[in-house]
Amino acid sequence: MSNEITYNKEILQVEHLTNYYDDNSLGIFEERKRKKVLDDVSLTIHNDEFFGLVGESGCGKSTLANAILGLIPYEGSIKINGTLRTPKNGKEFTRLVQAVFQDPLSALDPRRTIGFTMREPLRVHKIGTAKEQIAAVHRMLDAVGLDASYADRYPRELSGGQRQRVCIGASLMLQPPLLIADEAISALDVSVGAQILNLFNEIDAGADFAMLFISHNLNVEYYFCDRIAVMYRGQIVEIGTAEDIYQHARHPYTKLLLSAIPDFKPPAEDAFPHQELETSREDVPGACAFYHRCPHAGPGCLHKPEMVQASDPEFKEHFVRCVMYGDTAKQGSQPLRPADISSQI
Amino acid sequence: MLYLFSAALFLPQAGIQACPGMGIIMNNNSSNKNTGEVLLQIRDLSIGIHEAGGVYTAVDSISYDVYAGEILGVVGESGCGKTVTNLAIMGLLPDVLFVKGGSILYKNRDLNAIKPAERALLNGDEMAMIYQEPLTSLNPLMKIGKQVGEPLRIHHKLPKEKIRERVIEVLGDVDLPDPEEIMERYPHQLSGGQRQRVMIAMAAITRPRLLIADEPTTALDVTVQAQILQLLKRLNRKYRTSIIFISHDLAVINQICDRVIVMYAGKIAEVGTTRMIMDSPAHEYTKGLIRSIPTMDQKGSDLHCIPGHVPSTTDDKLPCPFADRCTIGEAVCRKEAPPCLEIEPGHIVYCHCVSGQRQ
Repeated sequence: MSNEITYNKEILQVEHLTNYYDDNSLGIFEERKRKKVLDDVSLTIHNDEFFGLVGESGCGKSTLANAILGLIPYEGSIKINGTLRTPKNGKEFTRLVQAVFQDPLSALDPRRTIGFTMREPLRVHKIGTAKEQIAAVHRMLDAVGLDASYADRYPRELSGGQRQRVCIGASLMLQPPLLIADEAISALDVSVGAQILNLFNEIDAGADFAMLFISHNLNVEYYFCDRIAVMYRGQIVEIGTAEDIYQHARHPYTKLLLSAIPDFKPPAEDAFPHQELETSREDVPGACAFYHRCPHAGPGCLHKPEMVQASDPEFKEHFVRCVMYGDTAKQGSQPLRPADISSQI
Repeated sequence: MLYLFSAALFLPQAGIQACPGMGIIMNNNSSNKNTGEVLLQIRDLSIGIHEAGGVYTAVDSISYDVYAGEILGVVGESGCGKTVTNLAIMGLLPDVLFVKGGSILYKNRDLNAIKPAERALLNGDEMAMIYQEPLTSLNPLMKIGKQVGEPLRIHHKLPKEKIRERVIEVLGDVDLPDPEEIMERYPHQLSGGQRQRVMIAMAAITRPRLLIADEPTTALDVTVQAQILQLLKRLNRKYRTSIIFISHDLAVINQICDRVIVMYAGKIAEVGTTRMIMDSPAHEYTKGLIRSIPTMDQKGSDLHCIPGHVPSTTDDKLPCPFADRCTIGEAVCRKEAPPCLEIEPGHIVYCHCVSGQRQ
């Protein structure tokens, strides 16, 4: 978690990932339409990096996670540790990527003891003898802040935070290079969620793994992640280090999100500045994903913008999908960048 | 008859047992920007729960006031009793829960003792409630216009045209564009934020004195949440509706509330104005809660967290329920219930280890 970015090798490479779902709301004689849930998503996660993914509900965050886990069909390519995911190497991939989900109670088998659940990955992959497996479970229970006595308990006997610790332990049994945490602390109480975040940091100090951390809570993302991608309607609209995103947000949607975070400062009476950052207009197919809400939209936004380097050269890892930045903006194409846009946040 | 009897039974009791500090805040109105008229008095309210074959205490003898025209935040983690207390105010406790003792006084009437018919007159007219998930609270088969107008039809028996006028007015009040068109739609045709606006319109149409909002923004996206908070604040200012705003999110509470009650494991930990709670929390639990929320300037440092976990309802509780997780606790915390200390006017904390000297 340093500000200096020294990249190790790539753990996850997602290229041009696209996923559709069938729109069933149509009448029986109308042509079936497919709606894009993920629209040409590409991202790279490096070794030992905590990568955050934020966005509103329905923007495709969890769909992306499910695609990487191989739970849904997709177009495009997913590589973990250099291995391309194919329909046939699913089992091999369970050693490369594991996930922790939002609700730990529904993720654990109520009729199996904690020890059984945590040992299962080792049993499936036939790693070690029974004795070694049990010893590994006890070590892992210790690592996630529980003790060996929990191995004989059932999920219902544990509190929410303890259950989430078990889920994290189970997901790390195979020492995967990539861990996906899909809203892993959203269902937990505030004080317990803080414990889980500290646990992730603690485990990270002792083991090498990258994490894709999905959350709708921007403060948690900023606190926890090295790099962050902002998603809107299935597209990544901005990607950069946590500082780039929070201190130098470029995309109008990122600015809107940031302005809406409730904080601990005394609120100004009846002043909600974020409303100036949002507007409402007709949706145009093929336009920029944020066109229908963007206060700066102009005729130049009617085509899907490319991902470009955010204009300042000092932010090398900062990319944004907006026509106001990059080369096209310099050529003077529409719309012009409002003078106050960077001073709004 | 039942009502008179119960009032006689509970009232003197409440007078004797009420915390010494409560009397002071009731009289001290200067620190409160509201007129100080007390709308609702909760005194020594205890709520029991039938769970796992036994009877346990979900809410343990809590007392607080709700002033007219204020937004009161109730914050706490799961199982602290914040929702249950407010269901008791509305008389909507599910079967497993029951009021064990204490009183809820509204306009000098004990709401625990009123007849169902009287309750039916109150709910939806003078008191209303909005919930976390609007889709489960709206009738999927009824058009928005009819649903929103229902409280007026039932309580005020207005003619149809009058109701229609008021529905259009209130849908405009909650910032729904094109109210006449929205009236003809069904809930499934609206977005999450719009549905929550419809819920608020339905609750606000009778201009209730008290609105209970139970986590109204938890299921919404952060941008929509900001809009709904602004809307609730505006309705509060416009109609002087008191709002009890329940949330687990201190930052949201900070944005909207005038006063805050912090609850822990069925008891009140701390009461004060929002600025007192946020800027100078006195109870160790409140301090821990505020510090365990990641904020922008904490990056890189270890997140403070409260050790241990929230006790469940069926656990044996210590006299001070927080004693097990408290870092400054002393032996006395495990023997006696914490005293009610008023450390500055309007700022009350239930703790053995806080001195009342701070100004």
